[in-house]
Amino acid sequence: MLLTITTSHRPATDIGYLLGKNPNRCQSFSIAFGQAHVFYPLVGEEQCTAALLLDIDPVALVRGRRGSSGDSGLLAQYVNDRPYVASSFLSVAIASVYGSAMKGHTKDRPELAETAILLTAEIPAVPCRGGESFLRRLFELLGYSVQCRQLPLDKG
Amino acid sequence: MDRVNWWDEFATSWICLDVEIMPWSTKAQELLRQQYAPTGSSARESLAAAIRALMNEASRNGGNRELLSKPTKVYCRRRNSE
Repeated sequence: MLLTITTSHRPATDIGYLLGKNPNRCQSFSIAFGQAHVFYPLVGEEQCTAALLLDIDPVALVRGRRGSSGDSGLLAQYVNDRPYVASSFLSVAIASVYGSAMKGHTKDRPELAETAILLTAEIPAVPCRGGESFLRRLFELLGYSVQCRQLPLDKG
Repeated sequence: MDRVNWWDEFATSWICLDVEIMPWSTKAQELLRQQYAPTGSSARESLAAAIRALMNEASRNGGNRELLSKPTKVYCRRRNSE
């Protein structure tokens, strides 16, 4: 599972200060259900992208039965989508890896943390029973502009 | 049954078949559609995005080939199985 956050606020590399993660380093963190890695696929003054990559082991999920009880039906299955979609595991990882950013703490750019800047967050896949209209209702109310497309079912 | 001489062998002119029709194929269809196919779609999209991001990072600073190897392996295994 991948979450990228991109800004075009200049200098864009300041996003590193906001997230508390150096754009020139790749860092790994252990979390309860696997590994989280933070790295920067794109680093420039005009645009900068931070990526949070989650490496979740679905078999360990089944065997260890970690995760919320609401997921227990799905987690009993060896074939499950948890490693590949945005789920509560991603929320836990965000809170753990970007915790200080979520609280608005930044040592080096406190004035930037107070400033509204344009940020684009991208996730490759999210399961959503309510479909696009539900996603829009959730996020547009919060002021996000949403772009999404429905993935075709895998024929494999 | 005619061909294998079944009637003569069991000395009967009638049989009774006790059959239970289990909806396995229907159930499996549902499982495929509701669980396996979405997992496949998400995996394809998610791994491709992860590989793209890691390739960009790697090309930028000579970077982290080690991180790249795992999603690439999983992705290629999926592609090859198709």
